[in-house]
Amino acid sequence: MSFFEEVEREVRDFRQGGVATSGFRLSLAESVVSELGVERNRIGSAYAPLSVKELAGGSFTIGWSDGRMSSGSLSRGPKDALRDVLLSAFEGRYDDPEDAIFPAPAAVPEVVLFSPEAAAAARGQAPDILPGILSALAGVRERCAARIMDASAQAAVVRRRVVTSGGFRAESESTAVSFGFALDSLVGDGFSRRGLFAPGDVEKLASLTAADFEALRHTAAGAPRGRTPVVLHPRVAEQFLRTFLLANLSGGAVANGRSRFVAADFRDRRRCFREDFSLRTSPLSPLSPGSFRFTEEGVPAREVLLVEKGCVLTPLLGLKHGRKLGMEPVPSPSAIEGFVFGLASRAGREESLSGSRTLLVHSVLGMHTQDHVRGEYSLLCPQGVLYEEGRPLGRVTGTLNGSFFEDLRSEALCAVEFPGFACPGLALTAELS
Amino acid sequence: MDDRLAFDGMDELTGALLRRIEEQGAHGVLRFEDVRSRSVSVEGLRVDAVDASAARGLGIQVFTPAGHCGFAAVDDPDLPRGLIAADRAVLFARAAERAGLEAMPAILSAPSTTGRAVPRVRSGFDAMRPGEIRDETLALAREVGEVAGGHSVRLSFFILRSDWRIVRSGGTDVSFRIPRSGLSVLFTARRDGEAVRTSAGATGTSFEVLRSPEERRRFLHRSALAADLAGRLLDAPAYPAGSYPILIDYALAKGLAHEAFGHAAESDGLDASILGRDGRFRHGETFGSANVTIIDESIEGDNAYQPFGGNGGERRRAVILERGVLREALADLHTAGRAGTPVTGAERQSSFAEVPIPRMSNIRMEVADAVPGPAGREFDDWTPESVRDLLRESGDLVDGGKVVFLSGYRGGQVNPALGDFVFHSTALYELTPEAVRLFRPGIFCGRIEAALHSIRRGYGPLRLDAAGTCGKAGQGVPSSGGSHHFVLLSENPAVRIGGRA
Repeated sequence: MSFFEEVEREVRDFRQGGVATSGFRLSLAESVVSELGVERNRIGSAYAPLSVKELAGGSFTIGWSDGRMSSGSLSRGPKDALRDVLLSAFEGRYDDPEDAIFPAPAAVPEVVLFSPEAAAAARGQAPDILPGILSALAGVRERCAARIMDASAQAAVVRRRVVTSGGFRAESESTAVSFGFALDSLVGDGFSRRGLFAPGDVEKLASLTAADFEALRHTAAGAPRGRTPVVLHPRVAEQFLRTFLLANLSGGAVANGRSRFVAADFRDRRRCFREDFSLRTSPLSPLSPGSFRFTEEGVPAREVLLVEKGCVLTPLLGLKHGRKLGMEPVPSPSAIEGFVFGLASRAGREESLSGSRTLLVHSVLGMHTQDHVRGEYSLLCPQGVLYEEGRPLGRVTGTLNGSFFEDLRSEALCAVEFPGFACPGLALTAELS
Repeated sequence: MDDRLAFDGMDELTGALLRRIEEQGAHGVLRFEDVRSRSVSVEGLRVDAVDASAARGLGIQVFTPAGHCGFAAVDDPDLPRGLIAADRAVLFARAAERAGLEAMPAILSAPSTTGRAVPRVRSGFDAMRPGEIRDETLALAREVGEVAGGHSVRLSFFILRSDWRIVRSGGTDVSFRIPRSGLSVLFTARRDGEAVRTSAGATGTSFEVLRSPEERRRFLHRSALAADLAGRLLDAPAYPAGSYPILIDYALAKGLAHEAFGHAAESDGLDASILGRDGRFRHGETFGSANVTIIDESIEGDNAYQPFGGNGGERRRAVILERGVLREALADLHTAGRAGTPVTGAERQSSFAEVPIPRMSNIRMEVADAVPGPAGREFDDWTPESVRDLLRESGDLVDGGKVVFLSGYRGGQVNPALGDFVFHSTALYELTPEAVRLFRPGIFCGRIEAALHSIRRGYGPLRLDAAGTCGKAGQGVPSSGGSHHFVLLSENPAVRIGGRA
């Protein structure tokens, strides 16, 4: 009996003291992940060896015949360990009627998430793939004359099954290939795809990120202070959008009063951002890292408009918080590529840096320490390149201060397209000190 | 007390796996982990989730005679699955050798260790059944609700027990248990479309953090302070950016020691650390005020307790900085040699599925000749006003002067290669002889060396229970540490409070 089947049977048949399972949701996954890393220029050392991990596990939500609920997580293991987890969950059951939803059979969209070549790399059947990625990155390091590179490359294949007592049953197989790197701790980036990177792609993407490496090695004279035009690199923009916007759109946070937004904001379609700002989920693009077919609760993937014309329409909602707020569930992508940020004002990278003394922010320190509910930011920008009419003048360090919600209402806000990035960079005005 | 560990009596399995590896001419490290946890979350006065989880797995790291490495991890590690993982790890180590990847042979000649550590706890993992944990957490949430001032409240409790066995070719065989528990509460205050968050927490090793009357009293006191602060922060103005004399509490001092100094002292990163030169630890060089000592060690009963390193050696105390002079790095056996520093067994891993890397456990900053403060006063009893009075009495806040007091650690980050650090605090108080004023804090940031040279004085006894999670290399492991109740930094242009100018 497979792990999936065993867990399903144990959950379905669990009974204790006259109380039995009356409904359940199960989300289970088996994964194989291969990795190789570079640690301080050393490929495959004991800190980043050629490795493979084969793991299985998942989460469960159970409704009991006495009307109470339980939840928990488990990993593949002996049968008595599984029963022990279920017994603990049973003993800890609690009243949570809004969570007692066990989806019925539903049509699941066909979305291509699997690449046989990537799966072969994950299973160790294509041993040159990961070293090849790192070798291409080493070439970029040499061309930049960077002293130290840290990097990693990973391939994964995941088989996921979601089953509910209401009859929903779906399975998907997905793959992911990703790499990340940092040069002299000055610039770095990471990229992920569902399939293999084509020859030359790794070098091309890494070279785009490394374009400012030379400029970052020299300090610019006369760093700007006070209100300053800045361009957030797409990776930095992603951090801002995740921390301040998506975290506040979490259904659990909204339903429990821990978000900047309250339920009435969505019911009233309150205008919170500039009129041309929109945000939608995009989980159906073939082979996109942000795509998926169904959620772990058994909700089929679909595109949903979250923000339109600056007005908030819906949070990202699981079943429980959707019911609690009286709204439809809204499946949330896990990768930023599953979101589309829309702004009418757009510029290319060069155009956005063609003005007078504009700071391109490559990285920030301290994002995880910010109060996302308040929306104000105070971050160290150790790696910014000051541009003067498109020409890089050198590295600038400072603290970046402002309010991201004010930025999202500001006329200065502009999306900046960077080649190779799905998420745009953002041009805005911030206080530099 | 149950002293039996999850992998006791599994000598046959460990022996078979090591034999399989050694028969193929390689050296093996087996890391078994069995982790069980329970948690309860309460939103307001309603139970939001009660989770139970269990996981068990094995990570096998293999080294060829030349020191090339391969790694494989599996869950449910019975003999057949363990053998498959062992063969994969050997295969990968050989592939690494053929490809000329990096060799690290020091482990092959490392001395062996045997040992066992099962810390004493006031109540074991099974001392409360899940239903009792749920009810006790809910009861505590009701008490917290009474001091919440109408703010949104989320209260969480967790308890975890992680059993490890690390067995290595050559005779190393150590087993240990890591027990942890914790309470945390999050307040969200809201007014006129503005919102602000504050939090309070407590860590321990058993259910006492939840059910001991003394621990509850302390937690409720902290919760009341955090809730009150959330309301007052809604109206607090921002503080202007700049350099000031800065007073930090012990949790921020732990952050400073951890982020600004501990990471820079890890032996795997000395090629690109300000504390390394040509990859070697700058032993004997001055790197801080002559009154500052920084020590890292695993402490029983602490959030970051780990008595043995991930390669099976004993983790020992490391005096990183002694009165301003660099003494020891945090080193494992792979890179201690190239760093020119002794092995301290500093390697840790987040789970069986990860390889260990050098990192901190409990790090503390001691300041010589600290002002003792009033006898018997606990940290939680200090108010900003009494802190101001302490500074006045010690002559560190003079007429016409001011000190910026940062309170409540919200996390930090460092770039050890460039020497930049940042921390965030929950609140900023401007202390002057005449007044104490609350502000919204900007980020506390600067240069590592400048911060360490700026340390002027400590106040009060050491307190070492500031807990957190260290995310080095994407592996989250528990961290902790502390310092005196408060530490004063002199004004320095390279140590700043961010914000609007």
